[in-house]
Amino acid sequence: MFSTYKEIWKIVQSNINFLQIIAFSVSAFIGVFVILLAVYCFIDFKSISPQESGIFKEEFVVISKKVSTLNSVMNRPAAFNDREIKNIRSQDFFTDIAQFTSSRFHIHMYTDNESMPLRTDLFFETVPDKYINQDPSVWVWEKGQNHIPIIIPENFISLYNFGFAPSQGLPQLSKDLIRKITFNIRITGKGKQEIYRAQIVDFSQRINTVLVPENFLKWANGEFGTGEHPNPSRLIVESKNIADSQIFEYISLNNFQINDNSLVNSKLSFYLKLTISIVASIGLIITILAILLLLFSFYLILEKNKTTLKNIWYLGFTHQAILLPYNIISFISLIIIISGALIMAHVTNSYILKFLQDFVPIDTIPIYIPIVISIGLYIGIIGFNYISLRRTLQNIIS
Amino acid sequence: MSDSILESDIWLRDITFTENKIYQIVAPSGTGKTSLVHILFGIRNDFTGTILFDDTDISSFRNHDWSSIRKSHISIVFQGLGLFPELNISENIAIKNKLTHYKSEEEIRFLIQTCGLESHTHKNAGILSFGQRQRLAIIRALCQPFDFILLDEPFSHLDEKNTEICMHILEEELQKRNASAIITSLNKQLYTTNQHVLDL
Repeated sequence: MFSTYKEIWKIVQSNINFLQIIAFSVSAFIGVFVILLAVYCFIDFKSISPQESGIFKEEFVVISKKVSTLNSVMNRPAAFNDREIKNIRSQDFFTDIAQFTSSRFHIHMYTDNESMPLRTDLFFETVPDKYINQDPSVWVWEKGQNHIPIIIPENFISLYNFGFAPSQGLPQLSKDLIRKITFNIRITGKGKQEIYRAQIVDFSQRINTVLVPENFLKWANGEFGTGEHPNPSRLIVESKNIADSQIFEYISLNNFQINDNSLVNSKLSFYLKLTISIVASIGLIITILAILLLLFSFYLILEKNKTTLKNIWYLGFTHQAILLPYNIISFISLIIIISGALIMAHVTNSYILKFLQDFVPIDTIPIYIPIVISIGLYIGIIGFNYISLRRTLQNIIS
Repeated sequence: MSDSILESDIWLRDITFTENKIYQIVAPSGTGKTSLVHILFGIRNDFTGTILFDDTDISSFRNHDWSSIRKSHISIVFQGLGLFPELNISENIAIKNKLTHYKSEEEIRFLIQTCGLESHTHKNAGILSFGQRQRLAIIRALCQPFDFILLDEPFSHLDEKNTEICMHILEEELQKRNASAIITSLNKQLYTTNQHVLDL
């Protein structure tokens, strides 16, 4: 093929402006690199504690009422009444709202292990399962089941490991070890007593309570509960944009309060999401400009060599044959540019991950996503380039 | 309508070019010789009337049809020659012959030699004299199969001897292919005994 078109190559070579090709290559490289790096960052943030990052699902916060001295003195719990719940539900910026259900019976938790004699009185709460990002086969309870999965707040472990354990001469516990411990749960109420086995399946940063599956608590409240239906003291509210200033305004006007930690997380994830989107858009713009630069540069070359191209065409060459050198140039330079940018983005991302791994555990990220996106970009650009060149040639020589 | 058009053997007439002939189309400058050649070669379509290749109307041809017609059925020597100044004589011929694989290297060398261009083979076409370039363009046009070859004032810068050589080669090549030539020129010239003169 190369020998057949050697002469056409020679003509193209003497007419092409390699400076323009280099300018295209550099700018396309930067553009594709930025896009791919943004893709990598997106995957990174997704893999950092996926159940709580909040980046990829509708966000939620936990709100409660402020506990005043009056509440304490009057022994009146700071709970939401029906009117307040109705009012919250009617706000546009909240997409959904759910109540916390508390246990209304006595719970005692203890271990059989003599080297780790733990025992404590406890309470349970529950929220609808959709807020718990757990494998449904783990986060489940059915009537008759003796085993209960539990989620505890992450700061309970810190409290135990750095406060309680050293002071009592008890061993510190890793998360993995805690997951392996089976606890006994003694439930007492309505003159009945029952013992269950419980296992901690996860740790929560955002919902600061001891969670059990909704099914279990509903059943247990009926079985052992006092029969009272107190108003909920905490609500979970969902919003498309939890950093919306209207929400803060509404919360403070009504004398409610937000779980601060989750707010920081949400705000952070919102800004991260925004930043990643902006970076990706900039990458896309740079890439589009680079492609236009290449096309414009080819267009100038074709226009400048109108007579030569016509003479080649009149010899009996097809349009495809005439454009072959230009297509090969873009084909090869794009392969180099995109694979280079992919490697560069991967290396950069490895450095970022190395740095991040000191703070948060990160799973190995799936490499196929950036590769698939690279191939997509490649096919898209080549296709666009091919069609544009054919059109340009058609206009020029006919 | 001007008298010259009314007296033309071609414009406003039904005319058929057949195989195995040499047609000479004679007309003064600026009267449409090049336009006719371009129309027959599919470059211009600003005409009224119908042109048929065998029984097919050429207005129905698409780009790829023209590519294959120009590769195998109609060859051309443009008045402006259409050579590539950045390529040397061998390359200017090779670009066509590699497309058609019609002539062997031997045959090409023989043609270059016969036309007196062998000492310039490696010179770029851009620095050759117009006469030398005309001979090069003729050789290149012969490196393909064809039924018709269009030559637009091909000998305008050639002396009598070179014209005779080129004409001799052309006649031989026509015979090999059983093909016809349509040659335009400013004046009536007797190239061969077998020629049909048409006034444009």
